[in-house]
Amino acid sequence: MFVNFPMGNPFGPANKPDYQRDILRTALEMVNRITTAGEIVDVKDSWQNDFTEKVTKSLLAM
Amino acid sequence: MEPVRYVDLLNQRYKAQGFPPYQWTVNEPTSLTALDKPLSQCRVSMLTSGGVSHCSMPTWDAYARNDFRLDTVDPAATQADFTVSDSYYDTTDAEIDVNTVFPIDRLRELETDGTIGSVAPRLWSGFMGRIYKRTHVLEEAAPALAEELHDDDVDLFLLVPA
Repeated sequence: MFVNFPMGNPFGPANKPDYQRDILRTALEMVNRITTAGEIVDVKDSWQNDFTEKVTKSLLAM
Repeated sequence: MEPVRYVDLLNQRYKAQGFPPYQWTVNEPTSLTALDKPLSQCRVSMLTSGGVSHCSMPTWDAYARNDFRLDTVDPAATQADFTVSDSYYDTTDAEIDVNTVFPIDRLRELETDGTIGSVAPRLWSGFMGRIYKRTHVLEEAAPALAEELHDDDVDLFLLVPA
């Protein structure tokens, strides 16, 4: 399963238990939906802001 | 927003440091094994590779390379029992609430509400940092972990990267 969230947040923001639980439930329920090994399911939710620039700077500065 | 091109960015970084292009591992999918029982009857285990350590264990080396330490985690532990140490991602949220990278509280809740049958007697933390010994992973470390999961009668194993 792929979630387009920053590294460190595959289950969403901190202290959002309902949201985290939904992501986890979606991941587990994939086993009933997929028909091919290696299939990637995208979670359609978006992060609250575009983190591309922050991540790019961070990775290139490491 | 479009996904961040992590692989391209890392290749760019390595190139700037004078390294040849990194040879990323390409894992071919194995055949799909369908479950022979509903999710509500499955025993589930989980592994985080996000540098998450229980307070009874040493913290992880934040800059670890080829560290094959593998911790077992008591599924009764709560999010306040953990420390996060990993230099390869922003751990701010994980330090506030470990469930962002290791949803241990959430997994127990799904057991309580009947979504899954049970949480396995052992959860896992390991394969963190950077691991370049891919043959060791494929031929030794991963099969050894699979044996442990088999011993715990695990039906589903959730692998959570940071």
